Amino acid sequence: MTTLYFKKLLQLITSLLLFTGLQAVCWSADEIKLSTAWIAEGPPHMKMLAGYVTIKNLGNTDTELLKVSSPFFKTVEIHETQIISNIARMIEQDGLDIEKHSTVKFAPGGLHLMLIGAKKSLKQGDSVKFEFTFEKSVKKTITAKVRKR
Amino acid sequence: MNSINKLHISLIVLLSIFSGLAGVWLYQIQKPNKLAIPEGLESTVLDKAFPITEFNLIDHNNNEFSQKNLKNKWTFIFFGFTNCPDVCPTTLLTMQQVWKKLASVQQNTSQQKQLLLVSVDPKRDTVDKLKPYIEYYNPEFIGITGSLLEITKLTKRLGVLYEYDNHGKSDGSYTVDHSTQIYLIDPTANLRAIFSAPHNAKSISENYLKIINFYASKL
Repeated sequence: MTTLYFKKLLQLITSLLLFTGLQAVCWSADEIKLSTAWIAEGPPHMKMLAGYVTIKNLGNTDTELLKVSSPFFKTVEIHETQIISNIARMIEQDGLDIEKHSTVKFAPGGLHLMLIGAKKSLKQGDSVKFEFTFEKSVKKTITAKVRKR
Repeated sequence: MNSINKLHISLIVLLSIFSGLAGVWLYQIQKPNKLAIPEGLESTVLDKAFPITEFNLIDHNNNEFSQKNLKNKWTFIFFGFTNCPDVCPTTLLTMQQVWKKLASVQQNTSQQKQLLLVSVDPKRDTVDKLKPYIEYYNPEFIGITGSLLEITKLTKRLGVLYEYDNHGKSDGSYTVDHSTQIYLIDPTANLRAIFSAPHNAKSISENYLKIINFYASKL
């Protein structure tokens, strides 16, 4: 009886461990969704632009956005606009936490992608590819459309 | 009636008149002067004119722009820089909407107005950069640049703060932290009102119309 009990308990523990292990591996690939990526059209010959996106973490584990890149821009940085006591500051984000079951929306006045060193002028209707790199080497790509604010 | 009674009556009458006058005077000095500034506005309207002192800058067409260019029209001024990807474009877009709203209601074109974006980054915001930038938002808008010394005369006068931030990098790149208020200067080159963020086109245009109508006959 006792042996049987312990056997069942061991089976249960093993299954739980396996399940958790599988969870840790499987969440990463399909549970990050990017949507609504857009670049705000700027004045002609503007090398510095702002980009916005919505990131959904549908998984059961927190993750972190580590960097963003694009073949069209020399550098892409993640910044957050903060207006405190009537002073606007841009705070560079060295990684951005995306909690489990949450959505992080980049929008004017808040989080934005600082797009530095555009290869050429962009206008409404143009498209630009971006690659988002998360922890555990998860990479997601999305095409952003240029549009007026 | 004897003379003493007449004297008493005269004194009482005089005292009554005096008390009446004193009462009216006290009421007048205690009553708030409701005509001093327009009320009920979201913008901060100054109760005393605040003169803009002399400065010497240039506009995006490389023409001189100084305190005299503030005369005879209402001027919106805000401070930013062209490498600002988020706040400044949003503010310019809001002011674009204000211009559209005012165009649809203002029949009286003698009330001229102008919008100035004064650069707090004159090192990068040369006339060549400023011109296509400001004209993209509205060809009527004016970009202002020049020497940092002259720009600082204006920022100090208005209490505008700005600071360069290289985010710990040594590649020469930087952003500029800056005040977000929009200042309204009257046609006598005096600061009259301040609009604080978040900027709303409807609120700014309505406040502006109330302010200029209030001061129409007073300046």
